[in-house]
Amino acid sequence: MDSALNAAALSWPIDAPTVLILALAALVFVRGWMRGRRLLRESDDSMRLLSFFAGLATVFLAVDSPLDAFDSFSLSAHMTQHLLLIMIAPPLILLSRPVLPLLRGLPKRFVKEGLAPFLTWKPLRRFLAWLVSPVVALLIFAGSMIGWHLPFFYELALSSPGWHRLEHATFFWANIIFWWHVIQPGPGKSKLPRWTAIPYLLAADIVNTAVSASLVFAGKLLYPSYGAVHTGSMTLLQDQSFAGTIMWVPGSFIYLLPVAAIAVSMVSSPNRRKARPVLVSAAERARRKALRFRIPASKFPLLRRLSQWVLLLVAIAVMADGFFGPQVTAINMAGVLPWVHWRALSVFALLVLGNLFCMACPFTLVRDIGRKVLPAKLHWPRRLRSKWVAIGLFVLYLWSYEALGLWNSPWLTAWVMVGYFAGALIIDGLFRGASFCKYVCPIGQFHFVTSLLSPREVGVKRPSVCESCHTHDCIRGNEHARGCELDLFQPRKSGNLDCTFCMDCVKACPHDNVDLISITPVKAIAADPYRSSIGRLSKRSDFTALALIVVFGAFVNAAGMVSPVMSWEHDGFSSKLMVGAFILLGVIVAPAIAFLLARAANRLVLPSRELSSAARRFALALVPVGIAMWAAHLLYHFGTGWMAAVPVVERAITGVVILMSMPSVPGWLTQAQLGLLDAGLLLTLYIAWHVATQYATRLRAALTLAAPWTLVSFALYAAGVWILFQPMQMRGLMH
Amino acid sequence: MGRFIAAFLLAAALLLADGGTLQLQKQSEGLLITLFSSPVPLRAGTGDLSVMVQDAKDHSPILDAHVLVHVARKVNGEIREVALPATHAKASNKMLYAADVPFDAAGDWRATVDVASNGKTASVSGPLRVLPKQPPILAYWPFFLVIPVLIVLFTLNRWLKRRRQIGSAPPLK
Repeated sequence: MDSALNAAALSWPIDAPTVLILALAALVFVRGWMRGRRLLRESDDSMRLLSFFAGLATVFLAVDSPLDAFDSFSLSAHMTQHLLLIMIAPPLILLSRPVLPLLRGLPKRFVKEGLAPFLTWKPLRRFLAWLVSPVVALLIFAGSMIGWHLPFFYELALSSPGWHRLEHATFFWANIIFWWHVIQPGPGKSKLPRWTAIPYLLAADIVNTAVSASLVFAGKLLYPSYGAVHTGSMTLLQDQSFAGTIMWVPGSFIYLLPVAAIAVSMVSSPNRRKARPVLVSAAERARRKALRFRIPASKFPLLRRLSQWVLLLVAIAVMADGFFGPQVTAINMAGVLPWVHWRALSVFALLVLGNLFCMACPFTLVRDIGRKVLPAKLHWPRRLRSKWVAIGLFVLYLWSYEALGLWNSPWLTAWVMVGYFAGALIIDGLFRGASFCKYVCPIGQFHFVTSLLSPREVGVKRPSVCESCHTHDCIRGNEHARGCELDLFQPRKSGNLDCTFCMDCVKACPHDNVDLISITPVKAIAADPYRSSIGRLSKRSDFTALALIVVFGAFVNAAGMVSPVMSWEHDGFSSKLMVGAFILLGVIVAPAIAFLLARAANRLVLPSRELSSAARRFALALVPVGIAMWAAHLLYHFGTGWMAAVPVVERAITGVVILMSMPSVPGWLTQAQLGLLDAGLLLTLYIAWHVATQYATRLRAALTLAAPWTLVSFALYAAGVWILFQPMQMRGLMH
Repeated sequence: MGRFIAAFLLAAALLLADGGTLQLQKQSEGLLITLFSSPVPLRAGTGDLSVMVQDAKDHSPILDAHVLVHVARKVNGEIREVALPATHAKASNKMLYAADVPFDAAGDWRATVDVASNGKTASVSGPLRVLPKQPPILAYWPFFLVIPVLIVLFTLNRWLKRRRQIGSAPPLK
């Protein structure tokens, strides 16, 4: 192959946000399409799926392929890109009749609560109907087509990536509007007769012909930018003429083909009506649902054991390297894997799936083995049955991480892991149940708080089955499996708090009624039901303190790696003391002041007896913004250092340092971090509003109640943005 | 108005999307060397400098050259220089050679491109204007705008729901 062609073929300027949007659209459509297949008798609609995917692939080809890499060097490449966005992608997407599958693919609650009020709002419906009416749609089409090809606007698009993206977005959406009248993807039918699409398409073809002809017959270079750099065998004018031809010939074909199809259909079957899809019976729906691929709940305990063994072997390797390997963070497994990979992956797993790390916890595997010889007969002291010990340990971890440089010392990291194994073995070797997980483990508490945002929980499939159950094996256990060691009784369990995903209840339930089920993530914080073994969160000060420390700890821990804070901490007389003071201020004093001030402000609306319970619930509402900060912070380490695992493992196996990872910050990182922080803030605001409306029915009172907590959330968000924009220290890398 | 449009087109002629701004284009030793910079406009921080090397006679791209990019500026009378190899691997358009160059300050810089290809060596240089770093709030404005927009939409959502509830309530007797 010609080397220039080869270079062109390899030029894929992949834009992460575009790929993410296309992938999300595909995911939502597939979900909705599959749901439609389960609900309706008419299930032979594979062409719809194919059409939607072809449309998305066309958009990808237009904006993320060599066409995009070369659109500033060749007008022909640029016009091909426009052709795809104007004439190919929109009709393909509309042919899939995407509205219903997309709505079915979104979470039901979001559609019902979030979108339905808009979709049923008459002024908006009238506006949308007006937008896709033939005259308006044709004017929009012509305006975008002619406007963007005028030299002034075309050059504007070439001069800046922002304008260029706007140009492409305009082409795409203007043509979704244009093709709507032709394809009529529904729901609903146009009141206009079908034949009106014929002059409509002919008018569009005239516009396209005029634009194309102006390029073909211009006789001079219309867009001077292409004169600055010229490549290839064609002259600039030949390139311009070819670009016009690309628009003209295939373009006309695309507009005239449906004209012919509509004319033929009108002549051949004037009154043919498509059969309406019919809903399938409930039994058939259940049968189709059962055909979905999923791991049976009975396999969960086996999967858990397997993953625990894998993590145990990794932990042993990490500890061995930490003790006996080179004490250089970037080439030691203990300096890289726990701090760069494990922390980030466990948080992402929590947000996407559930508490997978607690499920695969290697510490509890060692504990289970130890229990074969240790008594485990004592009851955990009543005074310590709260989260206060774990909170203390979590604050100690935050301090030692910075003050002792845990992340920078493989040896200390290995000792912390040994301490963990010993703690789990001794505590659970002496005391009944999972006292270590429930009352001591700071990692576990962090995971419990984060899992409030998880989309899955171990829960009851059919509550009616539990009502008739008298054995309560899920908590008491039986000869096959032990019951829940954390005292969570499935019928009264709500959310993921204190649940380690150990799957003992799944194994113990004789009715096969406990499974991994989907939940609405924010519901676990927005509501305050009685929770088994926990009670109501509005009555638990220790959970409030835990949530606040996890939330404020996110900002303190991230701030500890940015230059201004680091220089403040380490330029003083004693860095350990300064770090201690910073942690004390950030994790204990600041949340205490914020909590007390916001609680005091709520006096304006609430009676004294409700102040504490409301404040505790509002404090929990801060969890999303705090977890978003943890995720943004850990994403930074993972995004900059995920490749560091390769040389570290290579070194551990071969003993030779083959390749050192050099620091680099991917271009998408800051955007992703800000996106996470935005999502966290919005969820926090939503939950705070939801909580406020439960205490105050009048709008003004609810706003006054939520206001101080909204201020706290915005202050945290601002702190997070400030931290993300500071120069940050990388972890686990040579720099 | 006509003058304004003409001036705009002239300025725009020096700009290219994706490859960035055309910073210099010179011929040397039978090679046509073009330097682009991005982001548009170039600002303090990490900037992308991309180089296109073409045969000056037929404008065919040369893809097997070795390209070195130097940027230099005067600080207190001393010249501070950064030199980096530009490669295809760093470029999204594989006809270009690109390098991520750290511009530690705004101001007037001088860029030099050294090209070695088929035994020929060529060097071209020209001025490079680097603007001060954009405040992050401007650089990432969509992420800050989305919050008030969604709050407004949420308010509208609540208003619509409330209106619907009032509309569907049974009339008072």
